[in-house]
Parts: sequence; C-alpha cells; structure tokens
Amino acid sequence: MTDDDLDLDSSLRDSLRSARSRLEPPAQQQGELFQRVALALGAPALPGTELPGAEPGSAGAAATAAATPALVKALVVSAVVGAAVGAVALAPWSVSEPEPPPRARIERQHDAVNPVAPRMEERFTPPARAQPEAAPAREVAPARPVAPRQVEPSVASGPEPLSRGEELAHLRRAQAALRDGDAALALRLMDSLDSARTAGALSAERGVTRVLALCALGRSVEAEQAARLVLGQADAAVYRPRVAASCAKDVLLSEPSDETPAVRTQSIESSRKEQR
Amino acid sequence: MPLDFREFFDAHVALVWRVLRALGVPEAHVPDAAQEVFLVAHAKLPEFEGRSKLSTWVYAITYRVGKNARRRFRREGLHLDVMDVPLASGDSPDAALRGKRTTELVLRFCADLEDGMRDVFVLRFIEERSLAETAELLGLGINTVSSRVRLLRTQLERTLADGEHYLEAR
Repeated sequence: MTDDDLDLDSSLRDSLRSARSRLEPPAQQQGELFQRVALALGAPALPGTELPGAEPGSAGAAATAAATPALVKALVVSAVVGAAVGAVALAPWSVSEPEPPPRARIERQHDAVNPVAPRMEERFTPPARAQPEAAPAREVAPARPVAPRQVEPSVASGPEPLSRGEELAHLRRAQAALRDGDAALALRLMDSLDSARTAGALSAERGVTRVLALCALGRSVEAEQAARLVLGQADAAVYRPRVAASCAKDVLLSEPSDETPAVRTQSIESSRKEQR
Repeated sequence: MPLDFREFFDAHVALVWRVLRALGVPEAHVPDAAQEVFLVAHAKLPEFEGRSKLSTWVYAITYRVGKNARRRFRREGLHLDVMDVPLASGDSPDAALRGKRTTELVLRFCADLEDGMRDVFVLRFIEERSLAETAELLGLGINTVSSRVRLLRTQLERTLADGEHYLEAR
C-alpha cells in the first residue's frame, strides 16, 4: 500500500496477505481453468489435463480440433455480454504463429470466416491501429432460431468438427447455466453447438437441454417442437421422464405408441413422480 | 510488445481467481467467471494500449465480471472457507495459531461487508492497490474511497480486537 492513509501494523498486514493467499487457486485448478479457456477458444488443449467431465480417452482435452468460428464467437459474445464490458470484444486482431508458415497472420473481423481458430500459444501482436468501427459497442447474441433444429452429424466440408469432449464441455456449461436460472445463456450455447459440426453423439441430451431452456423462457410451443425431435431419436426413452416433467409433456400424449392413452398418461404420471 | 497468452494467463490467474472470490462470487462459480475474464481479455488484449498497467486493466475486467457474477449468484451466498485456514509452518505454535485466527477473522470480515465496502476492502486492503487506482477501478471519487478506507480500517481493527466474539456471533 503506497498511500499514507493506511498505516497498518506489520502483523495485520501479514494477516491480510495471508488472507489473500487463501483465496488463490491451487495449481490443479489453474491448469483446469487454462484448459477450459483453451477449449472455449478452440485451441488444442494440453495433454494430461483433461477437463472434469471429459471422458477419459476421448478426444476431449487432447483434441486438436478447433471450434468453429461461430462457436468461438458465440462463447466470446456470451462472455462479453455476461461481463457487461462495453467495448467491442472481437475487434480486429492479428496473430502470428511461431512455426511455418512464418508469421502467418490471421485477420479476424466481426463476421469474417476464420478457417483456423487461434491457438493459445500463438503470440499476440497488437495491430498497428485498430480500425474504427461503426458497429455498436456491444456484441449481440446470435439470433435465436425460429424453430428448433434437428441435431445431426454434419458431413459438410469445413472446419474440423468439435470433439465429443468439447461438445460435452459446452453442453455441461449450458446445463449449469440452466441450473443457475440463466436459460437464455443455455439456449445460446445450444444454438452455437447446433451451428458447429459435431459427432452428434449427444444430440438427444442437447435436445432435452434445449427443451428445458425453452420451457424456462416460457416458449412452450418451441419447446414442444424440440421435444418431438428428442423423442424421435433412437435413445429417446432415456429422456422421456425429463420431457414428461417439462412444459412439453403434452407431446408424449400425442406420440404414436402401442400404449393405450390411459397407459401413456399413467406413464407420464410415474415419470413426474420419479422427477420429484 | 508481443505478449504470449499463456504467459499472460499464468501471470494473472491468481489475481483473477482471488479477486472474484473476495468480491463475492460463490466458489462453485469462480471457474466460470474466471473463464469469462480470460475470454474477454483474450478478445480485448490487442486493444490494450498500455495507457495503464496491464494488472490494472485485468483488475478492471475482473471487477466487472465479478460484479455481474455475484449479482447472478447472490442467492448462493458467499463462502470464503474461513474455517479452513492452515497453520503457518515455521512459527511457534502460539504465533501460528494467532496468525490462523487473524486470517480467519479477516476473511470473515470481508465476507460480511456489503458490496460497496467490500469492493474497496478487496482492492485497497487485500490487493494493496493505491487509493487512486482503487478509485479509478471502482469509478468512485478519491474522497469517497478515502473515507471508506478509514471506516474499514476502524471496523477491521475493532473486529480483530473483538476476535473470538466476532466469530462466535456468526
């Protein structure tokens, strides 16, 4: 403390510094945090320090696949919106890689298609002068879809797909947002995942997360549409209880089934009890 | 000057983490909030013009993220592990115990402050930022920060003098 308005004795100062050190993260959490940031930015994670929840042996933490620009942008946008940082988060910036091609520069603009996601180990070289922007100071979240989209493995050419570990990490982030009452963030994360190429292994789980987010936002018609897509998938049975406990439960009543309506209603009721 | 992001991360992760915790972000949400800080920093780093110290710039981002996060997660309360302070090694047993209790008191005192006072306490007392920097980061006048610092100092000294009674009353 450099100002003379504080004249604390040495023992109190030591206690304050001790308290400060108590608030710092252990090395393991620092490593995990770096992995999270790296994954969110689409950079290859470091081997041997997988994210909690990433399946052992999955491409997850050791993936070299890069997130799509849309996903990177969505994550950064959500961060910026959450942080209420007024300035532009995705202002032009350049990155030079230390390995060949030498000093390759990647220019990223708001809507530019960036085929290569930035790597964490790349060196940042501030632009000589950031171009003035006419765009609003704050990024806006990706527009929400009019209707839920079917989640399918993408086979189109383009950036490499997200690994299952990355898909799982983002899904869990969305579910955490949902638990924390931030359904809008959960839905944005699902939108960004849907716009990325994935293996599609978690599509039903993602679908039901979307259903719950839409319900939380009071968008029951869209929730029912999303629920139909979930129930149309091969592993739908696992997700019936969660759909039955949601605002989209009526979809189960209209679902084609060999069961009689009475049996179906009974099934929904028992699912609700299980949820409780 | 070129800046390696890994170096940037390593240099600031402890600062970001402890400030988020001290500001009142529940521990379970600190990783998410810290990730936000670094994503924002990553996006804005090229814009950093060096008009302030890099650490001040990081404090500013962390403070904004932390303020929003604690608002979102307010219902979960603030827990600062005040009962989990280890004994310092190298001191005599009595001195180690006194140090442990004082640290617990400081953390509890911080956790009990209302937001406006805690922000000043975190930056000025815990992070040892200057009066001017604290005022700038919080968007407050120097006189306001100065008067809060004086009040905090009095309250902290009283809390430490009250010691056991303060913790027992919690």
